[in-house]
Amino acid sequence: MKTKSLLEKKRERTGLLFVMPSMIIFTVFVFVPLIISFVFSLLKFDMMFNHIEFQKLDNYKKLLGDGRFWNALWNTVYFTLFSVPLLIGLALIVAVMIKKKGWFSGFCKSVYFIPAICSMTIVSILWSFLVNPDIGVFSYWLSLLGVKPINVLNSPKWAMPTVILVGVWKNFGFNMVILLAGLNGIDESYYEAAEMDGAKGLQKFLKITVPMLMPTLSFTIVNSIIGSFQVFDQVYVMTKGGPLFKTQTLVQLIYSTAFDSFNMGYASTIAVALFLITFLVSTFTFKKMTRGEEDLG
Amino acid sequence: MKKRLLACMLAGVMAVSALAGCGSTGNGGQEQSAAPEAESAENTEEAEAPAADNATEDNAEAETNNGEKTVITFWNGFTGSDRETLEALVKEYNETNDKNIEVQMDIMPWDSFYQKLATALPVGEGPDILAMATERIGSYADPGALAAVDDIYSSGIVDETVVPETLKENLKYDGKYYGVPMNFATLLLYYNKTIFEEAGLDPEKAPETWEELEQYAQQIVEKTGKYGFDMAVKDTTPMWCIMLWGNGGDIIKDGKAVFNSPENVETVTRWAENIRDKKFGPEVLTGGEIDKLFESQKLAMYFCGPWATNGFTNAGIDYGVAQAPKGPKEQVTQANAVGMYMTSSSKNKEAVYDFFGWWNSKDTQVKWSLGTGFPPARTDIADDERMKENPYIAEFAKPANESKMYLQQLTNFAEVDTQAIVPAFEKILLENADVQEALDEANAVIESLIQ
Repeated sequence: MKTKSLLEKKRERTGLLFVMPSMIIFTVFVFVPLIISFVFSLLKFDMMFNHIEFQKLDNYKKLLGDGRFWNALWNTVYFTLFSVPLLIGLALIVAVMIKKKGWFSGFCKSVYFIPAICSMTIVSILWSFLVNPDIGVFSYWLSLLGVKPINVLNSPKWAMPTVILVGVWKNFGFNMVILLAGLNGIDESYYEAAEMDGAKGLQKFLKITVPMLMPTLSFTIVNSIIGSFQVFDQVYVMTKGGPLFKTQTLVQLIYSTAFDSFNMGYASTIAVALFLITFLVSTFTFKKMTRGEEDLG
Repeated sequence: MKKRLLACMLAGVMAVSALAGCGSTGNGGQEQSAAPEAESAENTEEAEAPAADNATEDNAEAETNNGEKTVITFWNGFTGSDRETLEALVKEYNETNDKNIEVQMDIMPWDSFYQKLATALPVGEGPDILAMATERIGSYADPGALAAVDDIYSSGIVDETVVPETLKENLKYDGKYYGVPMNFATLLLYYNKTIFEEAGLDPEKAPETWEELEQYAQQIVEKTGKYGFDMAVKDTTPMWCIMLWGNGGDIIKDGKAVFNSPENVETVTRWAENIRDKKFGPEVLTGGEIDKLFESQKLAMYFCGPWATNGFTNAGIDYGVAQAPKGPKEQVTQANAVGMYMTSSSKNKEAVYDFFGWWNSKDTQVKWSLGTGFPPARTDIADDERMKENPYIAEFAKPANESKMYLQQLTNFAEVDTQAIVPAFEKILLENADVQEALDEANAVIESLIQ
C-alpha cells in the first residue's frame, strides 16, 4: 500500500476544512434528523412522549395496509408524472425562444423568473382567489363568455390539475434560467456546421441542442422530480389535501398525521418511506440520464 | 437549561430503547406532568424567562415594587377582529394588577399555534397559558400537557355558578376541570336584508322553521339569482350539526357513533338536496369562503357566530341576526367556546390563576363582550346596563341554554372531523353519493377513532 506524501495529506486536510461548514450543517439538519425519524418510525408514543412503546416493524406493516398511504402515494405520483414533463418542456421551449440577446428576451426572462422567487404560500393564496368561482377574476371572464364557472379546487376531478398548474406556473421559471445558461454554453459553430450540411430547425434542436444540454437537463429533471415528490405548500394552502383526499400528497399526509393526529411515530414511518421512494427514483433517473450522456459523448 | 437537557435525554432514551430492542415504556414526560403540583418556588426562574418579541410595555411600576416581576406567557390564535380588544385588555391587566405580574402574549394564526404546541409542549418549552377551543381539551389533557385547575373553582377565584351550563361540562376532561372560560359564542342565522327586499320578502321577518327557511331560500334563488342559504363543511365552525340536532340526531352519543341514524339520513338527504340540487348555495364551502360570500352580498342566509358582526357592519351590509330556524324536533343551535388552560410545565400557578380570575371578573367580561360582540362567558351580566350598547350581544346570549357543543370530550377531535365527517359531506355533496352509504362508512370510521 502506498503511503501518502506529506503534501497530499496537507491538501486533504485543507479540502476537509473547506467542506466542513456544509458537512456540519448537513449532519445537524439532515443526517441526524434522518436517523431520529428512523428511530421514531419504530416507536409509538403520545404527544408528550409518554408511553413510549417499541413497535418493531408494526408501523411499516400498518403502512402497507393503509389505504390513505397508497392514495397519497398515487396522488404524489400523479402530480409528478404531470408536473415534471410540463416543468421541463415549458422551460425548454421558453428558454429556446428567448435565448437571443436583447431587451425583450431580458424582459421575458425576468417576467418568467419572478414567480420562481415568490413564496409558494403567497402564490397559492393568489391563485385560490383567481380561480374562486364567486369572487375570482377567471370565473368572471368565463361568465362573460357565458360559461358557468366550476369550483375547481372543490372538484375531486379538477383539484389536482389545478394544483399541478399552479406549481408549474411558479416553478418552470427556475428551470428556464438554468436551461438558458446551458443553452448559452453551446457553441454557435455546431449550428453553423449543421446548417452547412442542410439541417433544419427541428433537426438542429433534436440533434444538437438536446444532446448538448443533457447535463443541464438531467439536473433540472432530477431536481424537479425530487421537488414534486415533496410537494406540500400549494396543497396545504389551496386544498388541505381535499376534496375527498384527492390532492393529499405524501408530505401532506405526514403533516396531518403528525400535527392533526399527533402520531409522530407513524408520521415518521411515512417520512422514511417517502425518503426511500425519492432516493430510489432520483438515483434511477440520474443513472439513466448520465448513461444517456455517456452514450452520446 | 434543564428542559434542553431533558429533550436530549428523551432522544437518548428513545435511541437506546430502540437499539436494545426492549419494549418497556419510557416515563420521561411524566416527571413533567407532576411538576406543577409541587410548584412552590415562584420567583426563581422568572429572570431567565424569554423576553417575548412583542413585549413592549415598559412597566414603570416594576421598579416601585420590591418583589421581582412575574412574567407569564400566553399563546393564542386571536388574529381576527377581536385581537385589538384582547391586546388592550391584557395591557390593562399588566398595568393595573397589584401582584407585579406581566402577561406576555403571543398571537399567531391557529394552524401555526397547534403546530407550535406539538413541538413545544413535549419538551416543556410551551407557554404558561394557552387559549383554544374546548373540543381540543382531550387531545392535550389526556397526554398530560395541561394542568388540572379544579382548585381555581373550589377556591372561588373563578365563580363556577356563573359559567354557562352548556360550557361547564366541556371545560372538564375525565371529571376534572382543565380550563376556565375565555369566550363563549352561539351561532345565529345571519340574513341580508337588502337581498330579502330584492326577493320580495319582509326584511324584518327572518325564517323561523325549516319550512320557512327552505321557502325563503327558494324564493331568493328564483327571484334574485343569488344564493339563498348555505352551510360550510370544512375549516369552519360546525354548521351542519345544527340541522342534525334540530331533527333529533347526533354524531356521538354516550360514547357511541350514531352518525348514520335514520334521523341523520333524513336530515342530510333533505339539506343536501336543497343545497346541491335546488342550488341554494355552492357545495362544500370552507368557513372563510362562506363568510366572503355573505360579505360580498351573494349569499342571503347562513349560520355564523358573533365574531362576524363587526366586520359586516363595517363592510356596510344591511343584515339582521335571528335564532336558528326550528327543526322538526328541536329548536337548537351550536355553541362553541374558547377556554384558557394552564400548561403542566408552567411554574407560575399563582400568577396564572390571578390572570384567569381577572379575565372572568364582571368588569373584564363586560369590556371583552362589548369590544368583540361575543356574549359574556358569565350568565349574570346579560342585563348589565353597559351591555345595551351592542344590540347583537343579547341576541347571541339568548340561546345559551338551547345550544349544544360539537364533538367535545374526545382525544382526537381533529381526526374525527377531518377523516370521517368532512369526507362524508364531500361525498354526498360533490359526488352525489348515497346518503345512507356515506354516513354508514363515516360512522364506521368514527367508531374506530373513538374506541
